[in-house]
Amino acid sequence: MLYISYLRTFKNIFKYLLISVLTGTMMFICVTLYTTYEFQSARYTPFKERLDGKGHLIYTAGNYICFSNTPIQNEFRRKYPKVSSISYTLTDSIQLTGLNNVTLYGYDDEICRYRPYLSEGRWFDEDHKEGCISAVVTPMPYVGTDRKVKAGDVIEYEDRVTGEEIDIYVTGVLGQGASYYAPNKMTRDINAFKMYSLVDQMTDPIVIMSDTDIFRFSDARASYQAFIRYQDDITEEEMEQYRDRFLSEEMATGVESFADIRTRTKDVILLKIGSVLPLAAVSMAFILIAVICAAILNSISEIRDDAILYMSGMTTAKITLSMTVQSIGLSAIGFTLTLGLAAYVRTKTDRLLFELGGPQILLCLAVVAVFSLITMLIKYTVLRKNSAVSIIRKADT
Amino acid sequence: MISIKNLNKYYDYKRVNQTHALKDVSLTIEDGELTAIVGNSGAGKSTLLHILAGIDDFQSGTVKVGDKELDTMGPMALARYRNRTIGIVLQDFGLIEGVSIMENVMLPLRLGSPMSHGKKKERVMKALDTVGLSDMAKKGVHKLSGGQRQRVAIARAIVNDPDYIFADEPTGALDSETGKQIMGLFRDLNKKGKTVVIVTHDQEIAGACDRIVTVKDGRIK
Repeated sequence: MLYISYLRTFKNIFKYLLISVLTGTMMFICVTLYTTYEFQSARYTPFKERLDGKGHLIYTAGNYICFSNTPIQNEFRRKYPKVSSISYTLTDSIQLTGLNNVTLYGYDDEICRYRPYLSEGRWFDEDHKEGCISAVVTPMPYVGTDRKVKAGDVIEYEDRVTGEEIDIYVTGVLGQGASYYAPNKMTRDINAFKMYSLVDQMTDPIVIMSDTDIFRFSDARASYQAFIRYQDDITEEEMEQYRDRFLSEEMATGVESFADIRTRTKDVILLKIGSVLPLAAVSMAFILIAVICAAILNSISEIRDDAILYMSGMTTAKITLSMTVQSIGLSAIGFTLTLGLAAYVRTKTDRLLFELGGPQILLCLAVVAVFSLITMLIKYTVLRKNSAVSIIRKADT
Repeated sequence: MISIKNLNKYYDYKRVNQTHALKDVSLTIEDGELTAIVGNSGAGKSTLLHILAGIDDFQSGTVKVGDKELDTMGPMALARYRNRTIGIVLQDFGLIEGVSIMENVMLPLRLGSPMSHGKKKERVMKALDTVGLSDMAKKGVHKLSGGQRQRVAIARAIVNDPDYIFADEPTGALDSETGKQIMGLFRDLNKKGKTVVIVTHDQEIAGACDRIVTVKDGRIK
């Protein structure tokens, strides 16, 4: 049976190459579409749980209140007894040797669920150097030189309070256009996506490390954004009272409810889906038509040879099975072409949204399954409904 | 021996456009006979041959070829029957294009024989020798004339050394001289003990056979 599949394929190598290219293109489109969807929704992931339930995001700009100061936090909890938890990011502004002032951010595991695009290197928890704090940085130059900070560099710092020498090992550099969580950002009508800043030419130097490492910097303090979660039994009226008191008692310069942020975030997601829906629908239609065309081409073009195989002693079931083996083989070539195309495009641009995760592999398998199934069905139906001789006669005329 | 009893074949069975192609056909062909089945277009002669060759089904009756009862056989047994017991030759040759004569003739051996590749090659060369093409084994079939293509088809039909050879209008696509040569091949095979059944509308071909069976309107006359 494998020989028959081999014979068919190498007899019409160009036709089968075309079919492989078609199936490969389908897989490429599927993987790219899904990766784009994943990429778009990934920035919401770190905030999904944080914004769940009842709560307020408050902006503590001007440091009226600093939650990393334990007495202040205790006082806050005493004044607002319905508060169940407070989440914030530690940040600091320091002068590193050879560099301009930089801002440090200490990301916790939740924030790290979204990993921005790096132009070089790896995320800080994937690379370590003995005695150093691992960090990723935005693109920044060394003062007075043309040299830029790159992955693998070690930057020195001496803590002005403790005098401790801290070495920062740069594991990666954020790429132009990458989004990173900016916990000091204050924006009206905020949603989960607006909590990010884009890396561009004007970006202030940022150094991102883990929330456990940033504690070594004695001036590290809570960011301007704080997520205040309340107990489940808090009423709407109480939440409104809390909001008013935060503002009137100058605890915060702005307050947004979690519910409002969630609603705005969902609106943005719907808007994004709406904007890509026509493209996705056209792509899906193209994929379906291409799958059917490839399957028809694959099954009908060989039907004459199938009739000869049937006459020579093969059963319809075996012919169909050999076709399936061939379809899977062609799809495998198509998959390899997809990977090759992705690798080629990556040499031209490093912003290709093509990642092979579990769902993407499932999508590729679905393309293989649909392609093989349609091929099988056409083949089986034609062979069952027509005699071998009539198939050969029709094919020859 | 080939034994057909009360054979009925319908096209589009149980549909409004149902056609009764073979009506209560009964026929016996002894082993070693060279038989021609003749009749007008649409009389049912090809249908009868296709049923004998196990490539078409029927609704009622019994068909026995040697010790094989076709009406009781499943798809696997029928496939084995087509591969081992009989050889089929068609008017349109039915060759796989784009591959060599050797590959075409070896096809039935590839599908059903456990013998080694060397042995298979030997069998192919023997079959090609019988039809006079042993020096062209590696040639592609697309480079052959009509007569040569039919010889390849005959070689493929006999490569498994079947007892029965069924030919459907084997000279229909050939000129009369080539047709005679092909008919000579069938006669030689018959002399070697094969039972040969040829469907033809060519009286000259039919006249060269030992026995002529006429089919008219789905019945044996």
